[in-house]
Amino acid sequence: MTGSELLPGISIIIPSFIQPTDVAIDGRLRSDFRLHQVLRSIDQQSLAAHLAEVIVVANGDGVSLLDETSISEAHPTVHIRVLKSLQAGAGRARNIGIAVANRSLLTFVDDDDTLNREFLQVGLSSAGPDRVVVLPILDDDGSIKTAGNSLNVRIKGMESSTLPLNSTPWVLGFNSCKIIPTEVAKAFRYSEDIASGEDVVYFAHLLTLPSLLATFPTSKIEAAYVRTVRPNSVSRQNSSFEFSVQQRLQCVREIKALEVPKSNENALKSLINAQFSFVEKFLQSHPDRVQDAIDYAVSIGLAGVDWSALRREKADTLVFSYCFPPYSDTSANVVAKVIRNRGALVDVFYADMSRVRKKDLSTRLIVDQFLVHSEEINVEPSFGNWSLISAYAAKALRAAVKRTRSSGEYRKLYSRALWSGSHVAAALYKRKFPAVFWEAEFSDPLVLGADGTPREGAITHGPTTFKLKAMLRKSAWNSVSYATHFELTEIVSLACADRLIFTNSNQRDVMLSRYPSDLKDAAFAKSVIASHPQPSADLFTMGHSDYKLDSSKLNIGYFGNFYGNRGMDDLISAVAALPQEAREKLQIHVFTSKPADLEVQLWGTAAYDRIRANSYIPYLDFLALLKQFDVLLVNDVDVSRSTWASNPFLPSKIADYKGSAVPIWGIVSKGSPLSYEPLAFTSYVGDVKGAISVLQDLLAGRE
Amino acid sequence: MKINSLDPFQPCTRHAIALAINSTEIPSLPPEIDAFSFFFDSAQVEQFAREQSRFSSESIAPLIIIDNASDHAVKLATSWVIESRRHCEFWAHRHDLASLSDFMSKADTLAIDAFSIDTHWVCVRLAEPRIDSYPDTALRMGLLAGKAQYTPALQTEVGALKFSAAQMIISSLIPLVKPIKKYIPHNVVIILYKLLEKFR
Repeated sequence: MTGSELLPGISIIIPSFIQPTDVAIDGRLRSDFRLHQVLRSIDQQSLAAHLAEVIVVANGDGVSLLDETSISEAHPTVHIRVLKSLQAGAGRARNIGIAVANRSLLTFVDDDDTLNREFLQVGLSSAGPDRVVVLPILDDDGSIKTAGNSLNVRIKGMESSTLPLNSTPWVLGFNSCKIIPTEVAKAFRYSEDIASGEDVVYFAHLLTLPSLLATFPTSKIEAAYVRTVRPNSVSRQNSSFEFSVQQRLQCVREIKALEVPKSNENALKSLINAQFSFVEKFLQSHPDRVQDAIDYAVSIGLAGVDWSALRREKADTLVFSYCFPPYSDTSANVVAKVIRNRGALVDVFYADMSRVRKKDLSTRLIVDQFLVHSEEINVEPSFGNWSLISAYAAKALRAAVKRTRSSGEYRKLYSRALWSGSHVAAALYKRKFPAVFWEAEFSDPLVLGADGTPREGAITHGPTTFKLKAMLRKSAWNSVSYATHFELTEIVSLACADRLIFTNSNQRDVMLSRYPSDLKDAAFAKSVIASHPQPSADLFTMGHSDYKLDSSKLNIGYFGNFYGNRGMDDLISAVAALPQEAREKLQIHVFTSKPADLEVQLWGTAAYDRIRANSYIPYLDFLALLKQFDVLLVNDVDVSRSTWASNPFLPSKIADYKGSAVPIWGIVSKGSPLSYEPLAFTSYVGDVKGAISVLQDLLAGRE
Repeated sequence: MKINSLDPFQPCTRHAIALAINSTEIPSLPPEIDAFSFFFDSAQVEQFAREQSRFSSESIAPLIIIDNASDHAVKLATSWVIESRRHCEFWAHRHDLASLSDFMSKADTLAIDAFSIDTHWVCVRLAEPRIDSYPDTALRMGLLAGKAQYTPALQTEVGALKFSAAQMIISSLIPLVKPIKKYIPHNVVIILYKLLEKFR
């Protein structure tokens, strides 16, 4: 139904909850009495009767007790429709009312409330398709009606004004005393899944529209909505973990999920903060429930809540990680998994990478439970510019020192790099607090690029350079020369960290081979090999995937760069070389950064129909999808044209694949770290026959 | 599903039992609807009908299945029509005719007895197939093709902003001043509020 099909006037939606026990001593329904009260107040409205329709939506087990004919007969001047829903719920009832409303405006009235005589008339005369009309609200405690409630005071303060709705988000926090355009109301529905606060969530949807207004025409008592005040109403429930924390967090999740125009973002935040204030209030008086609240938030998929003001525990470990969730980055996810798998509480200082990385808020779910404090350092992100790397390190150090001063010293310090800023910040912190135990992890060689040639990176003067050089001078590594900041950072880390972590032994050998043997031995002695952390089992259930697979085919999943990749060229050749009948039994699903390029690459080859190109998906959804495949494909980084003595790279996705327990097919280089992994199927880079053989084995295994 | 007839009919809009998937997915319903009992669970409909027939001599209200092609809905419609010989209709909103097509493909023991289409809804009355019933293939193809013709009904266009310069200034100033309110002397705050009122 479009706006032009709606009739003039106001649809008044009255949800009425009826239980089988709702019968008074005289045999009449209590809800009957309540309904007659509110209908009488509608009878007495100054608005012409033909401009209003009433939709009563009785809900609950006792709806069959309600006699709709007697209701209509008792109020012949009002156009009343009575609908029923055996399933209880005011939100559900309001949704039914919204679905059948056929006047151009709409208002919600609770069955125990009433409307003063001019409510509808003033509402109608002030309404428009672009605005929400907010009218006065009185409280009725059964003996006296008062206008002094806090809501009415605010409404009165706005009398005779019309403002953008986003400047008065508080009007979205309740159902009553508002008249809204029906076409707007019909665009949204109340959530059935939340036990309280569904009104805030419903009205928050109005912020998805760009330019709605709120108008406050009058403070006249005659135009007021009269609210019955009961001590046990839903909105006045006693504070409890369920009501104040769980139900509020559900609301926060629903509101946060709304996509609103930029102009309405602050209003949305204000609604979220209002809900979260209940959580804070409860947890301030029940500090022992903070962890339960965080666990609950994670369990419902609510990520990125700032719990730091509520956590009273002290973090044992300080983490500097340039890349960190919510930024969508492999290294960020690895650090998050390291923290999760270690299970200790941490404080984290990470860089604002918004200029170079997209956000994937869901990745915060990996780590939220273990963050006492997380702080985004406001910097221009840079991989290679020393001034900008130094700026991150200096700012992160300052923030971490401030935190140390307020909450005490850390026992451990952890940093992980490819982005070297992490180690630079950690080195500066170690210099200031030498007693801290520093673990420096290298995801890849720092000073050499993927092709084995040295990374360029001029060192500029500045306090950070001075401090790192001073650290190096005092160490046993003071005779080692360096020309780039990557070298300076690597040497300082090797020299000053208490434990060095490498992802594989090739990487350690390659990195340490550049240094004199005594220093190499010293670094070796304090090093450990720790391959990338596998996701815990619960992470595989946090995301969701509706990616459709044809179960009659052999489904192979591949995630990563494909275009111009030697291993993948082998795959294309192998697929093309299969007999057509065999080829049609398999489907390869590629998730890559440039699916369009892949389509072009495949066009005209026999593999074209057998490879589906897709864009990357969020990390938790990627984990949820992994288990659906028959086989997961991983290939080695091609180092054949590089200067590496041995391949130092272990693809990090192998850890995710292993965690999924799906058989893995590796296209590997001889002697690479991947080649030593427990793979279900193996072929070698450049060996098309080997790839064909694996495909044939896989297809035979399904028959 | 078979087709007995595609003759037009007037869908039932008063005193009916409606079965939808859930309340959040009910599209805007025809405005004539009155005295409907809504259900979101087919087992509850069956229980309701059993109780009604036990306690009342009146015939059970017609069943309207709204955009619900679940297996449960198909089973309920089949027993409603074939076993109990009661009135049953399926309504599909024109933005989701796939639900009617799904329902037709699943309800192979039922037939369409009458057909109604308006701006927003396609409604069919269900019955037992007859000896001269014919297959629904062409109708299903037609329904899915017709989907492309439908323009979604819910288009929310909000008019241009109309508010005064004073209101603009106030709404810009309030967020700036509010954070520093606690540092301003109390009497100055009162004066500012009075000024604000005058300004309004």
